[in-house]
Amino acid sequence: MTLPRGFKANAEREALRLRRELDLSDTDALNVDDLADHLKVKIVSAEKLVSHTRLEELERVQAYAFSAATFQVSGRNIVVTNPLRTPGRRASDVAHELSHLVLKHDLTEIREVNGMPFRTCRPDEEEQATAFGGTLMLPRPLLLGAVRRQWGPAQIAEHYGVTEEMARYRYNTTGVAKQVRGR
Amino acid sequence: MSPDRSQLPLPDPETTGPDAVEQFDIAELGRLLKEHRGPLSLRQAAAEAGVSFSTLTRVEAGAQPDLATFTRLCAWLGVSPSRFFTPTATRQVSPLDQAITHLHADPRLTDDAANKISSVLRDLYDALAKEAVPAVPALACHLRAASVLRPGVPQRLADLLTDMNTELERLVEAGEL
Repeated sequence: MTLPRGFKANAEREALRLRRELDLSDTDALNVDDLADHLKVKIVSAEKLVSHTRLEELERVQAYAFSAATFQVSGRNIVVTNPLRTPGRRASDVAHELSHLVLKHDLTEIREVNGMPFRTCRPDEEEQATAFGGTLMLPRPLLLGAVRRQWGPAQIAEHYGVTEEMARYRYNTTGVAKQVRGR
Repeated sequence: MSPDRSQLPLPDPETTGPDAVEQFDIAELGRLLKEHRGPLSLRQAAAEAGVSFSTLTRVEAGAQPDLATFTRLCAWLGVSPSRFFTPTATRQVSPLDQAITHLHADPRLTDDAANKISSVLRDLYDALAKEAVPAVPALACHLRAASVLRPGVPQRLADLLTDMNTELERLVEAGEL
């Protein structure tokens, strides 16, 4: 599955536009909670809704079975996060969920979990949200700055509060290292 | 078998099968594209949508796009491709209708035979399926979870999500969120 043509460039522009709205420079770290506030989206930790023990039990049966979910309640979007995740992973999860909202993805697919139907997004929209979430956290100008300081994915992840996985994904797919080397 | 049921219109394989070009609402696609483009030029909009200028021009004018173009345009519009295959707002195709369409498309069955089997299917479906329709409406919930769930996980996850939704509804109603 590939992203629509022009998607990545639009994502970069949109990420920088949102940063300007948040009074952030292109190279500042993005706090996903601030972005959620700005988008008028509530973020609730799952342990405020269900017991911590039940979340731990699910985690024991399968790690990462549940990361986050966006519920639509009374016309409002509420992102529920898993308190068992690291801060970096939580940031990635929230950025992903907010991306669906910014990209105005409809909940058109029905996914069944144990016979319980959930309306969710299409697989191509999942891919778009992942790409856009990464761009929001680590836009190109920020990555370029980091690479010029000779930071690798691990340092980028640590400095900007994201997972190393996300930092590596952005590092590799944006070609920033190559761009800096080419100078 | 009640006689009135056999009179119910069956989905016509001619219009619901793979060759159902006339079901594709090309005019609606053209209209939406124009609307979505707004003040953008055709060239700008085409670049944004990831299609060529001439393709966008033709599709806006009512030409039928190829599948790749159609998919890109739908993504750009932010609408589901299925929207254009439904003249009315949304058309729910039930599993029963799908089965009946397949029967009518089966070259081994005459129209009469397909109608007879369809009629039996309808009776059985009416008698047996209603109880199985989930009483709970689908939760509007985008879920970020593992794609493959291990045994024991679906039950726990479904319960957790349902309880989270209930609690969220309560908190919103109580003005605590």
